[in-house]
Amino acid sequence: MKSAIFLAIVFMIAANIESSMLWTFPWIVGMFPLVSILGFVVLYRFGIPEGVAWFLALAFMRMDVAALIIAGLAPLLLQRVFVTRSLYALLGVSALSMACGLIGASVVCTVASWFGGVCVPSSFAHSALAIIFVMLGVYGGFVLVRSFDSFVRARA
Amino acid sequence: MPRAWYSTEKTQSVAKRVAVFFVTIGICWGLSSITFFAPVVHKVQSTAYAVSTWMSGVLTRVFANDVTVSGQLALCATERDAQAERAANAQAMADEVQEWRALVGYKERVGTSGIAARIIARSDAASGSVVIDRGANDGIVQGTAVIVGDGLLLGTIRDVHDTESTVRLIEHRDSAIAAKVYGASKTLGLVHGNEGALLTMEYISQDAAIAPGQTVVTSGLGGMLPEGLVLGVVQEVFAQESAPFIQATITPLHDARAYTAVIVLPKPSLAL
Repeated sequence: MKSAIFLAIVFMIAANIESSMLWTFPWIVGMFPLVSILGFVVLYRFGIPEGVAWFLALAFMRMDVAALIIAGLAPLLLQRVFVTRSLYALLGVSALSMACGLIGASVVCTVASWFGGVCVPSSFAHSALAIIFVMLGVYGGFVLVRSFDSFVRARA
Repeated sequence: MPRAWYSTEKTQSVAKRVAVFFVTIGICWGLSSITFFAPVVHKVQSTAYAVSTWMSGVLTRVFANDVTVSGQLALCATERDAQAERAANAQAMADEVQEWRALVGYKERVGTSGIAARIIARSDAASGSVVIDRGANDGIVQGTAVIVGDGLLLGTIRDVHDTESTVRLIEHRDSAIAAKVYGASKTLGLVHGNEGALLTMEYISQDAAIAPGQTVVTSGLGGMLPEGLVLGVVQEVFAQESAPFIQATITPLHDARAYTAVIVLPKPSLAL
């Protein structure tokens, strides 16, 4: 219960930091997907339901098709492909689901624009950078979570 | 009998956690929308936005240009020069606005018509003339008065071309303008240029009442210049008993180099 409330508050803060701060930075820094990175960390640290809920919330809040695809794909990858709870498994899940999410979003966007929708698909460079950022961020988040857990265990 | 998957404790716990997660997000979202909390949230967001915008500017400056100290100094020097140029342009525009205000004020006060013009070229001091951007096509007539400021006589039209004209300044050595002391009714003498800063007033009769500090204006004699345009102030009077006329030195009230906007007045008979 407490962890769910904590995650929700972290989600709101991260979403606001991303929209109010990160998006105003010059283009490379401005594309840092903080909420998505935290989502993958949540997926690893708290479990699949919380991670899926995180990406679903992101999808509904931002109308983000990529987040919706990640919410559906990441649990499958975790349960069927990257079954070990290692750093490499998490990086694999993050990169693969992010890539699929961005490609899927671009496809949906392109199709929507054929039918008169106002949608600009993200460029290849943007998508590649987003994946690189996600992998770097997830790596950092993984290390932080591991260190935090070790610290808590040592205190206990 | 085994229980259905959705009725297990684990499933219910997961559903409860996810529900709490979404409800908390909903509460936060709702609170940020209501009148009481919205200003606080917006204040935090605007502060974060301002900070990141500032940092963005810093990052852009650092990464978009040379990151070495010498490079940054060169960038600062370039920006300083550009700033100085902008300030100079702004000052020039302010001066010009001031000039036009004075000219418009004169026109409204005197009720005369006239043709506004810009000085587009300056001659050297020896020739004492300037070129304006109006000519015969605009109705400029040779010999008419050109004024600056609030009715100060700059000179007279010497040459007229189709689209530009040459103005002979009152400091020009060939300039000769019938003048009087301000307030007097008759012509006192002729004001000549000296190719310098001062003017000379000649042919003043011995019994004329003229003294340093008096204002000298055009008398209107000749028919080309209107009466009352300011020429300057009497600085010194030279009187010799043996000479038929006395002479005076006049200090002009304007510096021809300080103006860019003028008005060419029509012949007095044509004035409205």
